[in-house]
Amino acid sequence: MSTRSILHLDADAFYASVEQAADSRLRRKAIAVGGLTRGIVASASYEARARGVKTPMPTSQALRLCPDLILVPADFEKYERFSQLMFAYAYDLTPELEVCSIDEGYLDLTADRSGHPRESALRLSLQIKKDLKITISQGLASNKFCSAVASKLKKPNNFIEVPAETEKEFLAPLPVRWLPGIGTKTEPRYLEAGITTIHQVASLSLQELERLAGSSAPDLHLFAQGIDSRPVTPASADPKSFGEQETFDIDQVDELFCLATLRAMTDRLCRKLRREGFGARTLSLRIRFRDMEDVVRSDSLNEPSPFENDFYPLLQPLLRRSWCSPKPLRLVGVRLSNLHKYLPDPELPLTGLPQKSATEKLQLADATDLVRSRFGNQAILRGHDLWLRKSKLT
Amino acid sequence: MSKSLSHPLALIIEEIPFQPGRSFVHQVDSDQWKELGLLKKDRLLLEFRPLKDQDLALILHHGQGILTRYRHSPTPRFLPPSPAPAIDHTDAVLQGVVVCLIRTMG
Repeated sequence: MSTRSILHLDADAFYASVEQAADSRLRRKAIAVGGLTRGIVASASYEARARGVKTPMPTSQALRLCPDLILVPADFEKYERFSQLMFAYAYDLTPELEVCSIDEGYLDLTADRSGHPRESALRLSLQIKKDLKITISQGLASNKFCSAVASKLKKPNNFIEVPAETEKEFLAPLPVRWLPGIGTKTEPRYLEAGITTIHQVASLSLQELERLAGSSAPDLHLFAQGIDSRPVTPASADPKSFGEQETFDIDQVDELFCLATLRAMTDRLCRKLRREGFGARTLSLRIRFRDMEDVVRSDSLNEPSPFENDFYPLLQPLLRRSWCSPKPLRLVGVRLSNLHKYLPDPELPLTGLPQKSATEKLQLADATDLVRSRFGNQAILRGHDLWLRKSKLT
Repeated sequence: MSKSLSHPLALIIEEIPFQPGRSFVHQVDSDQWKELGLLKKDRLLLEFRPLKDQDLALILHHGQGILTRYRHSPTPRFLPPSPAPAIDHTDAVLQGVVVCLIRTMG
């Protein structure tokens, strides 16, 4: 197989950098995004990081470390716009673009027309810096894993190329936590076994590694050798949304039934969001009338959420705005978009009700998801599920 | 049913925010751009491309979205509706150039 050229693009301190780009008064200052509603810092500028501010960190702790820290409320619409503009430049280089999140993506530059992926990558970085006034870090390698590590190794505004055939040497000295699936909870297991570097993981036999990593050992073993055959997967029409639609057996005129169906869809979509670690900000509702006319209406939350409860209040007004004609409905659909990584809560207990409430909501949702995955979707029913079940029986 | 929804372009316009690329739809949410001929609830199709002299441009300045006229000479700058002063282009970040006005009639 010929050598691939995979570029990983990773925006530096994305939310904070966008705020600094959007307001020249914030540039070169210690700023942090968030902290106002949930009590945690969602993103910190490099000036703030130099003073010890990290994410996620309770705001009170951040302010103790950096008393002149400027707190900026999150403006997710702004971040989505910058993300789209940033990836628009990436699309100029190749359609083989996999957008992983609002600030990260992979480009397959193997077929780069210029024949110089390195120059293309540097040009991309310069364009983004000049026009959007934010910086990115990039890694260029023969596979996704090595390019991602390279992009994150020396941030910000950096570019690292890992020449083909040197992947194993590049990874060897790095701590084991750089391997996928090894995080703060699993790393101690490796350290206790005396394994601190990727080189040591690569030297283990598969059987030895299985004792530490279980079923993920085969993949981990390949990653440690610098081998990763995963393709860059350009997403289909809409890479950044989750959607569902349902065509009714009988055209509907019953608003309650339609609403219950939409709620049940939203439940399932939010479960998907949580499983992928995302929160969504925008809900779009689609209805199709009997005569095949479609109407789409959208509304957005101020902050992304992975909770169906946050989306329920949007459903009825959207349905009423869309269903302005007395025609029966043939189809309804929901799409959740403008996805953001849902910020994990810090391990420190925080003061303040909003934060506690968010943590509890996530715990409750996770527990519900777990019960449903083990015992089936019918194991826990909401009011609208019961209502739908009863409607289908009668 | 409002007339805009019956228009064959309505669905395409609704889809724009979900398509990757350089085009955006921006809703005008006040009458402050009357001087530029824009009304509240107008929607603008924006394109992110290099600026040309006299472009109508949406920029972010001091964290706020502002519609301006871009002037390239004698120095690159954005002209907001009067009486606001000109904004040096390095002080702002471009969000897009207005290429189309979408106005719902009736």
